[in-house]
Amino acid sequence: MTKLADNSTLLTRRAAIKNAVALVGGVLTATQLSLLNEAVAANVEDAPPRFLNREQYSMLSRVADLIIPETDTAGALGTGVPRFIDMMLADWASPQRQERYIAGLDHIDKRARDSGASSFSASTTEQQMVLLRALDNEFFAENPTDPFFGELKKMVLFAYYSSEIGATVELRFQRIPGDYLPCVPMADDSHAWFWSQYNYGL
Amino acid sequence: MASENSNDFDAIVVGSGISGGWAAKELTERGLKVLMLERGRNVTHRHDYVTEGKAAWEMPFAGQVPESLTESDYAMQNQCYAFSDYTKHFFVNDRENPYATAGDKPFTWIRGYQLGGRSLIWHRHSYRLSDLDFKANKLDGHGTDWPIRYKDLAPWYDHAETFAGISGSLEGLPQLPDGVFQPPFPMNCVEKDIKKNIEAAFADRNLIMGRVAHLTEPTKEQMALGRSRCMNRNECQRGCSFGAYFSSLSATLPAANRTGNLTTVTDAVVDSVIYDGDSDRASGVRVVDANTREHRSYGARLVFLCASTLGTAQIMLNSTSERFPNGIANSSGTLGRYLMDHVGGVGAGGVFPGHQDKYDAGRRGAGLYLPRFRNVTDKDERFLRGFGYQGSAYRLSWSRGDNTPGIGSEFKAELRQPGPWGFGMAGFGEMLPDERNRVWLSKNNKDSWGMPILEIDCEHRENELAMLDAIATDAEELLKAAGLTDITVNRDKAAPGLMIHEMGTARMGHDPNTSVLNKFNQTHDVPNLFVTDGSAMASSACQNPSLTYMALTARAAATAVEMLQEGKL
Repeated sequence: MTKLADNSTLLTRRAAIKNAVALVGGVLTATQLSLLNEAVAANVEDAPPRFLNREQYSMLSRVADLIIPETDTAGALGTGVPRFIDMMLADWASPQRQERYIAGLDHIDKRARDSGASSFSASTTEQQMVLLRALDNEFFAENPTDPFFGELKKMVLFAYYSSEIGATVELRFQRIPGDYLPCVPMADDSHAWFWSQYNYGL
Repeated sequence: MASENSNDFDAIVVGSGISGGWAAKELTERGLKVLMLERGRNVTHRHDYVTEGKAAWEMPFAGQVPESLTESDYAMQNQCYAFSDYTKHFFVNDRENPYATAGDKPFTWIRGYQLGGRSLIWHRHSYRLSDLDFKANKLDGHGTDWPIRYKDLAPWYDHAETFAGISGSLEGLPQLPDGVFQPPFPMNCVEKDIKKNIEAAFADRNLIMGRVAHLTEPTKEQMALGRSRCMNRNECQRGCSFGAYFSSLSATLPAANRTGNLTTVTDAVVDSVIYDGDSDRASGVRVVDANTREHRSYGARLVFLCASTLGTAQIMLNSTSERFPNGIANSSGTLGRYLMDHVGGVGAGGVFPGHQDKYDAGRRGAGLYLPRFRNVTDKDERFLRGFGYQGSAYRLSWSRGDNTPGIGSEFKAELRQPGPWGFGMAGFGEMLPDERNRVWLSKNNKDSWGMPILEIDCEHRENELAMLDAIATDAEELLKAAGLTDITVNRDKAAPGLMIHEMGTARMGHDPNTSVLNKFNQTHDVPNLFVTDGSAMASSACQNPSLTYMALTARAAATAVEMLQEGKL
């Protein structure tokens, strides 16, 4: 491993590394495989959301899509970000956070209506982008009046880059790096490495 | 299994963490039949590293612990940097393991109750103390004089490093003695520049590669124990099937087991040490089964307490008899007192301009170390003793997006690239031994195993607060000299306990009237009772202490066996 692997070889390497981990540690378990299967199942968009109602879920999906759109790689929708966030709200989040999400999504919708639309979802893409950019700028202002958009954006980024496609196609990931290479020349299009985040403070 | 007060074992070792593992290894290798008692569950090396190698998308919540569970069961453990959904099975459940603190003085007690203890989840930095540390108490009058000097421990540091496997560089610094090292991890290009800039600006300061218990060039002995070199995953606290970092499970327990002399019993909560007045000796220990709550006892000719600083204090305070109404080997009344931790949490970070065309690859589990420079040759007027820093340089990740305005395709394209190089460092400072920082047994509250819970009264005082201030100020000055921009200084200190270097509740000393242990970690009062974990420390120094526990334990074990053979115990 003297130079950085590009993304096309990474997926094959990853498969090989998975086998290596299994040989060394016996850590690929049935539970893990079932988790992978669940992750695939979670991408099936016609399953009803578990925490949000359909309208809130649709709005969340739209916001996530606008924050991380599909480009030459999959975006938030193609990586199951809305499903993941809905699952986190159902199974991971505290009641306080659940309340913040309901109120926060409602507030975004109200802002859309304040500017003349019948709802956020009924607005044009341009109107939606203008509103989200305004909310983003407000979050970074001195004393943000409504910090929810910052919280939501953080969750969308976490969900996207922690997904398999986010970590291994959009970014790069080595399960077992082997060596530490301290100073490697970087091409202009080198993707950043993905690191697992421990106590992330979402 | 041993019956009441039988002497089926030559020695009992209480605890299986770094100190207990070393005690078991050294005692069994000298031919003693040893019983190791661990209060937590069994953990089998490799097999029980259930999250090892898992990527974020293979974890139920991408590695984050559910918020309500954190609040109900892990309020303290969650404050530890290494606590996550990947590692929480190696941390105690706070709800099930209560303790109390005095008034408004917080103490964050981070624990791992399982075979291997906190050796599974430690940070692995391994530094020697020097005579600057061993002479400090005598010089400024705080605490009691260490009954040993560097020359007493040096060969045992050699022994510990050779077996454990410490990677690091030879630097020739008097305040941080060199040792037996495997090759150091390399510095990245930014770290090399920062080192050059700092060392050019300050004649008395050095930035060196951290000395860490990671194998970079394993010895034959280490390979024979099933250990191999570090793979740069930096996921150590999940457990490492390569055995690349030192833990009881990767190193000392396999070594002890191959002698055929070790019996390990897990789920055995030691309640107290049994004192036999007729022989004036410890005759064994009383145990509560962690699951059934049944009581039983084990006998032995020698007892080593390695249950961690506070765990050992709790057991000793709970071991009362006619001779020792306030805890075994506590004729001095100092047991439970002089509790120390390091001070820290404070530091600084910034951005390093340059090397934008360079990147690193692999996740190095080791950072840099900036050894103590205050009160080494000059005398600082603001505070006594000193501090060091740990730090590292890294290119900022996608997570900088949380703090960057932007959404949409351009934002996504920007976060695909690595960000600028950042550098951060945080201090580790010495805390003075103070009689008022202490623990005692609750008179009213017991845990579910029937043990009186610990009450902890510990706070940072004038010297610690002055030092914390200097840690922040010096960090900013160092980073300016290093050439960083956008420097931010963090002055939020860690609560006592959170540096996870608690020590000093059964201190060593010359005088039986003012200390619990003699120069061989043997209790002054009870000849066959030894204490070799962090509670033995007469001062805290500012270096990460685990290597010193290893050396003290090995030295004490060798001495105890000699004494046993000479009929002195």
